[in-house]
Amino acid sequence: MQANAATPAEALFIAKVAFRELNNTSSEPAVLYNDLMRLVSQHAPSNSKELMAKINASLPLRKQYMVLVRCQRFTQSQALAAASSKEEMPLRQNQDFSLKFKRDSVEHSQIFALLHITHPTDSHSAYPVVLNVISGEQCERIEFPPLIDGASQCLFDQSDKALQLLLDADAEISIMP
Amino acid sequence: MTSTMPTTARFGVSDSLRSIFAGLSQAQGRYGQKYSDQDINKVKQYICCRNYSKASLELVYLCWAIVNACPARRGATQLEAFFWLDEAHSPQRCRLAFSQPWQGEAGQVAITSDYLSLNIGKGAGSKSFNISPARVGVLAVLMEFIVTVDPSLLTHLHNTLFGGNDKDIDQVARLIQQSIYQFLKEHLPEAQIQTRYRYFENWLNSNGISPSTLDDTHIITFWQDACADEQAQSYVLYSTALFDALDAISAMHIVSSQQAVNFAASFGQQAEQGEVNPEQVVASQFDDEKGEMLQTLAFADVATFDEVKTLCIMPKCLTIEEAEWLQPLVSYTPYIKPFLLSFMRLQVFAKWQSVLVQAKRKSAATLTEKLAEPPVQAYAMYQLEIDGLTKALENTQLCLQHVLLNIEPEYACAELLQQLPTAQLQQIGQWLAEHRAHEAISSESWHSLSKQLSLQFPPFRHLCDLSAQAFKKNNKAGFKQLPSSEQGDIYLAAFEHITSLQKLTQAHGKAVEQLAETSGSLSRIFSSDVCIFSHRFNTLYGDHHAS
Repeated sequence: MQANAATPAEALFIAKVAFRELNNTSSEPAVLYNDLMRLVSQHAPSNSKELMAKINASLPLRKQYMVLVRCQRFTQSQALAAASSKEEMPLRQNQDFSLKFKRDSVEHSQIFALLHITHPTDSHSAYPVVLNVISGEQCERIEFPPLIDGASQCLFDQSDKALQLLLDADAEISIMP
Repeated sequence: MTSTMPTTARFGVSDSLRSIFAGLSQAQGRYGQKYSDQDINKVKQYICCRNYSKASLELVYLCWAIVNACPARRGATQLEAFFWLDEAHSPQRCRLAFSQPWQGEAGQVAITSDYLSLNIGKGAGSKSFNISPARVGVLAVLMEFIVTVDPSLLTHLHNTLFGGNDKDIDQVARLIQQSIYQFLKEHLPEAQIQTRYRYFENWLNSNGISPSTLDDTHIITFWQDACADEQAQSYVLYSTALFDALDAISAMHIVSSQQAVNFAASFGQQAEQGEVNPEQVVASQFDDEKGEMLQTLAFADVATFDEVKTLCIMPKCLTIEEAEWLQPLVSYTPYIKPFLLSFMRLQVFAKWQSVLVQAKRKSAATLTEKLAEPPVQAYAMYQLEIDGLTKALENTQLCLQHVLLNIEPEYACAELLQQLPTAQLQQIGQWLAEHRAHEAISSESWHSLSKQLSLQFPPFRHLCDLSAQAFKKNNKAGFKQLPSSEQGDIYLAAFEHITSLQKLTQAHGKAVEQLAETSGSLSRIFSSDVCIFSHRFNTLYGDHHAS
């Protein structure tokens, strides 16, 4: 529909009404680049779980997120070779880090993920260590406590989605600086 | 028969556009809320007035400076580092980011005491451009906006501007303007909003009403007529009808007043043309002068503080309900007295309507139940609502006062002193002259000064005690414990906003009192309104529409 050119009063009205409607912030907030940048870093926003859910529900957002993870990561482990992928709790290891899994001896439904970083950055000891796991169509952001002597661990319930992704041999695991 | 049910879908700005601004105001940064409400409001105005070409160009110049003059960093581009990692959009952090002057093939960048000074190119052909560090906040909001609208712009900015010249800057600025234009074409339906104006204007004309003689009866009649009119775009909500009417007469008033002479003249050429072709429309979008004038006129009467909801976060001065109650009064302050009854109808019956709208989303049964529950409090009870709000505002004010006494003692003392009677003030003035005349008062000593005043002058102490008690009882966010002095600005701003809201509420309360006295029977008007609104809502939401 091609509108006729607005008169001055109409132009003013349009500006005022648009402004009024933009102030109706009962809308669900959009995911901004700011949110993506914060999620990728260790300074996560307080609503990171909701944000990750929105990212996983949107292909364009997920693509952007993955690009950021891949640009900014400290180190990474790609999908495992066929041989290792047959293990129930496959070990991830390279010259930069290792990620092992151990079932709790008392509570068998709980599993420890043990992280060790060879040459950690300063923020790895001061702030939570952020792992980004990309598997197929899903991204997951997992925080490990700050490193002590290069090591940290996290306890998961075996049904936890985050753990499932960490155990997925096809997953790409990135450790952020 | 849902096809006959009027719908508010595609009636105004899109959800996507609104959600971007919702995201901007909730964006978190390393230092708390990332973008200031003032900066976000400015960008909102740019968008609403299509006045974004100058700001876009400024942003591109800033990006040129960042890309060329700021050092590279592992894992992130200079733009990402500046805007998102370092959040260098505050004047202080911006100066820090550019603390090292830069000179290269593409030009030079240096920060002076007043500006970020750019020189693009070299020698005689070089172009200079200055950016005030105070401007960078608004430009950062605009940056976040355009990257949300078109994420590819970020890479494009970096690649084109690195070693880029003036032509590159112009080219990228054009690209940004085009991106915004295309986005707004879909998400800010000007044609639809224009139709709403024309609809109201036609209604005025066909009923022989002029903008200056519009009154409460006309407003409610307009709403009913528009509701019943299947040709009307959608005036289901009473609030939309009221606000559209007020925005329309405001626009008409501005245009008919002296201020708008130049503005109207700039439209002269276009108005003669009638239907315009798309290219001309695009060209006129980038008419800076017209955009500036439009923005100045449209928002001259909008207070810099316009969004009451911001007072519900940190510190939590108001509940969401209180903020929603106050918002229309803030947005339409000049119209509250002349359209007092319309606003009372808004607060009482429009509220009922939103209950019905929510009930409709839940279930047909809930809707039927809510339809049978009209508001029972007569307008006389409305006075009680105002009283309740006045008390809540007073209490928040006391709590803020207590915080400020601790972290901004100079300001707080001045405020408290103003509340004392003149005789007291004179005594205090004398005491100050005797005891503190010889020293300048630093902020630390203002602290001890306020304690001394408390000791010496019981009325002052009483005010301090009231504040302290209110604070102690307050368990909301921002009031659980004393904040650090770095947050002084936030509390100062909140204090000023609450003060202006108090004035507004008091004035409104007085106006309602006057109406009750002069109109004789508010309860008669109320009963009649219950009938009108019940009838209309039953037509809109009653049995035959439930689905």
